[in-house]
Amino acid sequence: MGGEFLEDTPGDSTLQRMRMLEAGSIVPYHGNGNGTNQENDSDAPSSGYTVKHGMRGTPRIQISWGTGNHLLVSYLPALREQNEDGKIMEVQLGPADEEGQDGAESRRIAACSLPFFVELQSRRRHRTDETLQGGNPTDWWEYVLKYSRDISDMLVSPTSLTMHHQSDSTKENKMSAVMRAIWDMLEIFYVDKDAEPWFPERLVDWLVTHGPVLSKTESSLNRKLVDIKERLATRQFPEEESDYWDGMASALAVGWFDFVVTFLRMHGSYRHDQIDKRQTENGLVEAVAVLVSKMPRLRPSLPAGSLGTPYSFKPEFAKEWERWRIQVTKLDRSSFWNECHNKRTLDGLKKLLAILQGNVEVLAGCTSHWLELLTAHYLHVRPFAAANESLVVLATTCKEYKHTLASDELEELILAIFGDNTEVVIAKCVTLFEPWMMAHMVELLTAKNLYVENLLRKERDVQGGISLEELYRLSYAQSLASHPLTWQLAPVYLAACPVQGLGMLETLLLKLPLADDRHLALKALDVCRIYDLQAVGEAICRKVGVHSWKHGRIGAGIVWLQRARDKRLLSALSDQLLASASAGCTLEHVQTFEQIQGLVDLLGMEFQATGGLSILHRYRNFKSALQNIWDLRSKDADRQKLNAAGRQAVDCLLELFVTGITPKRYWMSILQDSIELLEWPGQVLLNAEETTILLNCLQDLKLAKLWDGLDNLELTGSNVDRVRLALAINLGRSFLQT
Amino acid sequence: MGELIRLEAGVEHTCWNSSRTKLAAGMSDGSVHVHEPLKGTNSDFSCSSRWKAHEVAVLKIVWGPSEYGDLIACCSKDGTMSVWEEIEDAAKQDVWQLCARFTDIKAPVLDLQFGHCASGLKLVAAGADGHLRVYEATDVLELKRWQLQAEFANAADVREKLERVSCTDASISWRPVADAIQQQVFVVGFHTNSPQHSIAKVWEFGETHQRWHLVAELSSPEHDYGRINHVSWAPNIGRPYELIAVSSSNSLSIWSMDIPSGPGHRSAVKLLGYFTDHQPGEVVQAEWDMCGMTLASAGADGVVRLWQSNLKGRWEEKGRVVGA
Repeated sequence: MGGEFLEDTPGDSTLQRMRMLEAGSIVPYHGNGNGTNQENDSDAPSSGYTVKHGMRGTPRIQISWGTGNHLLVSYLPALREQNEDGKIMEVQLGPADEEGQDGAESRRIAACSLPFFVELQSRRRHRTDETLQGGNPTDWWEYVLKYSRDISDMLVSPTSLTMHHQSDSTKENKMSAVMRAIWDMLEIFYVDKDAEPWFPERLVDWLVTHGPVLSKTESSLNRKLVDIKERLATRQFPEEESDYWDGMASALAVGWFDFVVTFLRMHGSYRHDQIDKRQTENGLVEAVAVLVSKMPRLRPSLPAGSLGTPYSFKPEFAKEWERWRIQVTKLDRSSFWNECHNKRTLDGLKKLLAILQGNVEVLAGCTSHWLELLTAHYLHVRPFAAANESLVVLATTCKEYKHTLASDELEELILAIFGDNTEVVIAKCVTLFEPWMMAHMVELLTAKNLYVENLLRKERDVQGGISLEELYRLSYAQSLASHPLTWQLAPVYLAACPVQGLGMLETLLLKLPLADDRHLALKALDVCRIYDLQAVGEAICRKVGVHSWKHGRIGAGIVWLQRARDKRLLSALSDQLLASASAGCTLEHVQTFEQIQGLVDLLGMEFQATGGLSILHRYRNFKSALQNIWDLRSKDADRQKLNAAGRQAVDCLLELFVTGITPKRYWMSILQDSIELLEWPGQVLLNAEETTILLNCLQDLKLAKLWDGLDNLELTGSNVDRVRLALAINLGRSFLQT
Repeated sequence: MGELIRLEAGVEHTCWNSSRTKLAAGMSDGSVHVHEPLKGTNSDFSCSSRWKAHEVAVLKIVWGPSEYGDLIACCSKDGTMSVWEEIEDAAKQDVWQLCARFTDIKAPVLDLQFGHCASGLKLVAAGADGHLRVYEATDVLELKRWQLQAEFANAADVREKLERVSCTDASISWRPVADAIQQQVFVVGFHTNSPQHSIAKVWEFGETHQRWHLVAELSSPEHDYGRINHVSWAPNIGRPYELIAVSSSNSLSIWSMDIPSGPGHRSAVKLLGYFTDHQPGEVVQAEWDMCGMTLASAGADGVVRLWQSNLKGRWEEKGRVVGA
C-alpha cells in the first residue's frame, strides 16, 4: 500500500547544504514589507525598509547606529532645497518594527526564556565537573529535553489562551505559534531519543497542537471539526450530512480518535424514538466506535481524553496491532452490512474502516495538507517505522500527491528537519525567525548529534574566528540591547560567548545613557561587578562623576570619582575647589570654604584617604585649627589651652607641606596664614627643622618664580618679605630655645 | 520606525552623542542646536539649547567622549574650530560655554574628531593643507587650554603641490575604544583632486619616539577609489584584525588590517569588499553597528544599504533603507 510512495529522489549533497548555510544572513533583516526593489536588480536583497520622510528631491543622508539594531538616519535637505526642514528618522532593523507590533510578545519571550537558558548553562558546567571527577552524569539530551519542554510551554502566549479564534491573535502571537511549532518539531527529531520508536504518534500530537500553523488561511482541521461538532450537535440525524462523515474521516486519518468516537455516538441510530428498525445499523456504528477506541497505539502513554490502547513495547504492539487489524477486516467483511439500509451510514462506516485498514486512496482523499497525509500514512500504514527511514522521500511524495509543488519557507524548513539537513534548518530559521530562536535552538540541534555540534561549535572565519553558536548569541544580545527594557538580559547571553561576548558587553555598557541616570549607572556597575569588568566600571563612575561635577552636583561628583579611583581627576577637582576657596578673603570665598568644610565632613575618613582629595581635608583641618585659636582668644582662654591649639595648627600646617601634595600656587597664601603661628607670643611653636621646611618652600617658590602669575594682593613683595621675616625670627627663636 | 526629530531649515551637519540621547546640529547661520528629551523624562526630542558658535556656517560637528561631560567641537566655513561644553552656571541653569576657540590654525579645518586616550583628551583636526594637527587638553577637568601636541602632513608632498592639489573635505576616525580607553590610532582620508593623495591612511602615536607614524595605507592597484568622503573604523569586540570602511566618490570599500603592533611595523591590509552599488556611485558615509558586524552605507542616491559578511567572509548587501 505504502510502497507506491517510496520513489527515489535525489537529496541535497552536504556541499550544497553547506553553501546554503554559508551564504545565509548573520543578522536577518526582514524589512517592513513595503518592498524596495524598484530596480530590476535580481541580486538585490529581499529585505527592505521604506522610510517616509516626504522631503523634496534627494535629501542628503547622515547615518548613525543606536544601541542594538537601531539605525538613526538624518535626512538633510538637498543643497538647492535649503529652506526645507531636516528630519531624523529612526529605523528599527529586524522583524519587530512592523505596524501594529510593539514587540511586547518578543519581550515576554525574552524575559521568560532567560531562566531556562541560565539553568541549562549551569547544568552544562556541573556536568562537565562531574565528568572530570569521574562521575557518570545523566545523558545530556535529557537535560535538553527538559529545557525544550520548559521553553515550549513558555512560548504559549497568555493572550492566545484567552482567544477563541486564531483570527483574533496578533501577528506577534502567530509568529510565536510558528516558532513553537518548529521548536516542538526540532525536539522530536533532534532531542528526544525516547521518541524515536514512536515518532508517528509524535507527529499525531504535533498536528493536534500545531495544525493551525500549516494553514495559510484562518481555517484548520481542528477549527473545521469543532465547527461541524457545534453545528451538528442539535441535529436529530447528523448522519444525513456529508460534513459529518467527511469530518470524521479526516479526524480518523490523523489519529484524533476522541473526535471520531464522539461523532459516532452522535449517530441517529442511538436515538430511542426510532420509527425504523436500526438495530443492525447501530450495532455496526458501535462496532466501529469500539474498534477505533481500542486501536493499539505505539506510545508509552496517552494524553488524558485520548482513545486507544498504548503499548510501549514494540513486539507486543505488533502482536496486538495484527489482532486488531484482523478484527477490522472481519468487521469489514461481515454479512451485517447487507442489513444496513442507510446508504450514508454504510458508505461512511466503510470509509472509516478503509482508513483503519490503511487504504492510501482514502487517506489521501480525506486529508487536506500533505503533512496530514504523511501523518495518516505513518499511523495507519507504517506504524512500526522509525524516524529516519525514508521520511523525507515519503514527505516529498505526499506533497506531490497533494499537488503542493511550490513550497513555502515553513514547509521547506519542516522538510529539512525531516531530512536531517541541519545546514538548511539553520539557514531557514535565521531567515524566518527572530534572533531569539537561533540563540536558543542551538541547544536542541546539538543535544545528541556530534556532527551538528561540530558544525555549530567549531570556530569559523566569520567575525574573526567565532563559532556559529556564539554568532547567534551575539546577534540575539544585540537585538536585546535595542530596547531599554531588555538590555539587562543581554549580559547573560554575552557571558556565554567565550570569544567576543565580554568585548560586546563592554561596548554595550559604555554606550548606556547613564551619565544623567544614577539608577541605570548602579545597574551597569552591578553588571560590571558580576562579570569582573573593572575598567568599564571605573569608566562608568568617571562618566557619572564628571557629569555630576559639571552640572553643579559637587558631592555626587566626588563620590563617583572616588569610585572611579581616578586620582588625576580627583586632584584636578580638589585643585579647583581649593582655588575657589583660597584665592581671596571675600564673603563668597568664605562661603565656598564653608561649603567645602561641610562636604569634607560629610564624606568622612574614607574621603581623607583618597589620593588627590587629601589636600582638601588637610586644608580644612588647618583652617579649622586657626579658627579654633581665634575662638579661644575671644573667650580669653588660658595660655596652656592656646598653646596646645597653636601646636595643633602647626601640625596641620606641616601636613600640607610634607608630602608635596599642595600645588605650589597655594603655598604663598598658606604661608601667610602661618605668620600668626610663627610669631606666637611667649613660646616657639615651630622648631628649627620645621621652620627650615617652610623656608625651603619659600625658596622653591622663588626659584620657580611662581608668584609672577599669582594674585597681586597676596604676593606683593612686602607679603613675601613678611613671611620670610617671620620665618627667620622663628628660626632664631627656636635656636635660642634649644 | 518614525520621525524622531524635526530640524530647522538650514541644517548642515548632525551628530549624535555616544549614548544617542542628544543630537547636535550645525546650522548654516553658524549656530549649533542641541536636541534632547526633556531632562529626566522619556518625552520626545526638542531643541534644548541653541547658540551662535561661529559667524558663518558650521560645517562639521562632533561630540566628545562622555567621560569628559557633554562636549562638542565644531568647525565652520571660515576654517576655524571651537570646543564647547555644557555646565551649570551660577544661576543653576545648564548652559553651553565656550572652552576654546582655535583661530590661529594655518589652514581651514575640514574635519575634527575627539579621542579619549590614556594620556588624556585629544582633538585631531584635518586641515585643507593636507596636514593633521593633534591637540591635547592640558587639564582633565578644565578644557579651556589646549596645546598642539603634533602637526604632520598626511602626504609628504601636499604642501609643495598645494598649487595643484586642493583638499575640499576630510574624514577622521579613531580606532574605537577597547576596555574604556582609546588607543592613539586613527584613520584619515582626504577629498582631493589628486588621486595619489586620495588614499586613506592609518596613523599611530609611538610612545617610544613620541611621534605619529604611518601604520598603513588603504590602497590596492586593482581599483580606483575616487575621492574619499568618509572613513569609519569598526568597533572590535574580539576580532584578531581591524575593519575599516572607506566611502568615496565612486565606491564603498571594506578593508581588514592587522592590529597595529608598534612603531616601525607596517600593518598588512587586505581589501575585503569593493562595491559600486550606490547610484550614481557616490557613497557619502558608512557607519558600523555596535559590534562591527553590520555596515550601513549612505549613498548620494538617498539609499542606505546594509552590508554583512557571510559565513565564508564575503561581504554582501543584506538590506536597504529607502526614503520616500
